[in-house]
Amino acid sequence: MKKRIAFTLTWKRIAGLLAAGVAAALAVSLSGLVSIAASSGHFAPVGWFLHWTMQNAVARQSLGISVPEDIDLSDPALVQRAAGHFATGCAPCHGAPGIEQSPVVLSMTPHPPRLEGQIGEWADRELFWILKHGIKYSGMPAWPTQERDDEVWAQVAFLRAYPEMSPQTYADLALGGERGTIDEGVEGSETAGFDGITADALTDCARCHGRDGLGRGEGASAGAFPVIAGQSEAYLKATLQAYDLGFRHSGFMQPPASRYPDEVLDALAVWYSEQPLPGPAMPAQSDGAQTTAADPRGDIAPETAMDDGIPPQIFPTANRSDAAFSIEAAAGGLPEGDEAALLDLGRTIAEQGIPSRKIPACNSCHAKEGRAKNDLYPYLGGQPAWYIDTHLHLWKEGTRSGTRFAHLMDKIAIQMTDEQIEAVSAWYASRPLGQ
Amino acid sequence: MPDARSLKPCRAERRAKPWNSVFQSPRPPHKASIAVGASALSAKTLTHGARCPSFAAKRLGLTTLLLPLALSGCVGPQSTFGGAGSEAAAVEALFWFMLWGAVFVWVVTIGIAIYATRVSPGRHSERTGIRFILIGGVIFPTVTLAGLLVYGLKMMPEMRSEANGPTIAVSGERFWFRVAYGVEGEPGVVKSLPPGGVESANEIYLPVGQRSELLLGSPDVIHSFWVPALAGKMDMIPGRVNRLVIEPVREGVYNGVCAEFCGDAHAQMGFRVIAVSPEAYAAHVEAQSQPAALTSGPGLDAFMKNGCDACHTVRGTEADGAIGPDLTHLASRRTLGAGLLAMSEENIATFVRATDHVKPGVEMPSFGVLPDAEITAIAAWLGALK
Repeated sequence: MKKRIAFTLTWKRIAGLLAAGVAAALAVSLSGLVSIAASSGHFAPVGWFLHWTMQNAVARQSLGISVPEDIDLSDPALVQRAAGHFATGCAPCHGAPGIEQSPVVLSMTPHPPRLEGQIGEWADRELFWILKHGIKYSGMPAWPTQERDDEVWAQVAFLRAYPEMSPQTYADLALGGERGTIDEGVEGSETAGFDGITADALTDCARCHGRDGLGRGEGASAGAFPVIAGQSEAYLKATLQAYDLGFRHSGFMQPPASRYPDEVLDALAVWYSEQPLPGPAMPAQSDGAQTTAADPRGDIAPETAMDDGIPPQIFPTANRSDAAFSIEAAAGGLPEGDEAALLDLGRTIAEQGIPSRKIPACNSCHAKEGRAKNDLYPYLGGQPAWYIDTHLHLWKEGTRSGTRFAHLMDKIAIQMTDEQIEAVSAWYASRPLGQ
Repeated sequence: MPDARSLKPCRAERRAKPWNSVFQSPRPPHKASIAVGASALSAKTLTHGARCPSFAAKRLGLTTLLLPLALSGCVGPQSTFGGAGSEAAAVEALFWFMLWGAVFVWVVTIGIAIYATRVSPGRHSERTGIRFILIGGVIFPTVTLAGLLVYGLKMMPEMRSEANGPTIAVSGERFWFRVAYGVEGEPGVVKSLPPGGVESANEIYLPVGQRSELLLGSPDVIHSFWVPALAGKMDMIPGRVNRLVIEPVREGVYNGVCAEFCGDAHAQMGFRVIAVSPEAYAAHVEAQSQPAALTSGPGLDAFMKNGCDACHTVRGTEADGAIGPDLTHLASRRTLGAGLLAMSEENIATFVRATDHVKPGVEMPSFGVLPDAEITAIAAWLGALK
């Protein structure tokens, strides 16, 4: 005969069971007998289960991510841009080519893996997800800001290049190569006034920006960093403080800016503001002087610049006004790959703006020479195109802050189309440095 | 007709009535004008047969005092009853004619209804009744409405007729009005406003007794140009130039507004129309065409240094931005911020310092981050540009 247990499930009993469960959990926790010691490692099946959960989560939650069209993960400039951050942000735990992991790190549970063998097992989108969001309970931090996907992609590009990287290449990319060593020779005497921390900090900056502020990277990886040489001291100081306080978002720049005290940041701002820009005798400059001197309206590729896509027979030139002065890209349609037209458009925006689209001339504030300028407005001439492009988009999305004047760009960037941003970025990149 | 409530003791009345809050309100009366309208009505009904004469008298006094406030929308610089323009006057005449006509028809209709149901029901035959309905319900309205239609339509060509005064381009832009006197151009589709002219903003001078032609357009979204005291509305549509002819008949300052919702600061998008004699108009345009009165000094330096010229023009200086209002003769205008603040040096400084606070949604960024000395210098300079 079967024995039946007379038990009826009621809502009250369910609530009672739940309460008992919570009480039991609290009791276990309160007893202090749970094993949380890193020294003991994981019980193998538990370790496997946790890792499997993590892999599934990363694989599933990264499904909506894909490499943006304008990002080429094999671009050496991206590798160069993220290398310096790897040295301070990642290498201390994961090691690096030629650098062993510390026994301290290896005593973590779970301990951070060396990456050479791991990277190949993850897709681009998964690497991106891990770098951006980090992994709870494992010690893997999230990216210091959630607003800078462009930086995270650069880091993915670096990781892709990483397994094949020789110790020498790594040292050159991330540690400043031969230039990164503590003050020597002539350069050392220039910084003689610096105390140890400032000199150290400058070396830290120089791993990416170079001591001259022109940015490291040559050949294919040239233009990996914005040029900071010769920017005004006030601007550099305010920008470093904005990074320090978290107003301006950057996973690359926030960590070093918060690493050093204000006095050191000030000294660094002075140092870079005093770095000379390369001589003015660049051929492109005389070219530029000529074109700017000409009639402000007439010389901008007159046939195409006035054409906004409406055929002349229904929109005669005589009917157009300054207020409606619009150009092809205003309606969004420059011919693909027409570099000259793109630069023309960029120059128009930089020098005259597009009043009918409420885009003022960039040079009203950002030209370095020729007129008095607020110290907190940076020059743009010679900055790499990706830098201007990225930051205009950040402004457009409303996530870019910086110095206390940064909000001025909000209302401007939001008026610009992607094409106009690309054009004006290309134009400034083509200018001599500091213009 | 005694109101049932008025028979209750006065104390209960005092507690229960909505106008009580108005009566004891510490707020300035203009803010309570909506409640006042209601109080005027209820007070009137209640005084009839009320048992508390002194209180009733008070209420009556209050009503007399506040009634003009309730009706204040019907007078002043933004009233359609001003009749300060030929079009507005014609429309006003049409309005009164139709109002009194409607009152007449209503009184007659109700009178007949009372006669037919109360005074002598069943006196007339059904045949008479049907004939009456045919005449009074079909023929009379048809003739009357046709007459009104003809009368109304007859006004339209007059409003559209040739201008004999100046042509002025007005561009509605979020959230202000760009003005250019003496342009040459025509209305039409796929057109932008004609270039040139003497530029100003948020203030339009018009000569009295002349039919000025306004060419209306917009570079961004649809706005609507409306000066209630002078003429009807006309939309300002991107990609199209509309035409509005205005003939002011009386000198004065009239308020204009944007009458089509266009964004956050739509309610703060106003302007002034100043109707003056043709001689004074010519003198004003001549004065506006001059370069700025003061073209050097710390104010201009601060203006240029901080890039204000990216958006603003001050003729006679290097500032040639075409995005915001022309500031060449800023201080000669009556208002600042598109009809928002009275023109004064202090208000200019306030506007520069807290733009978004003074005019929420404005497209100009706030420059409160500038050192105070620079803001003061800029305000002093702009305040001197008569």
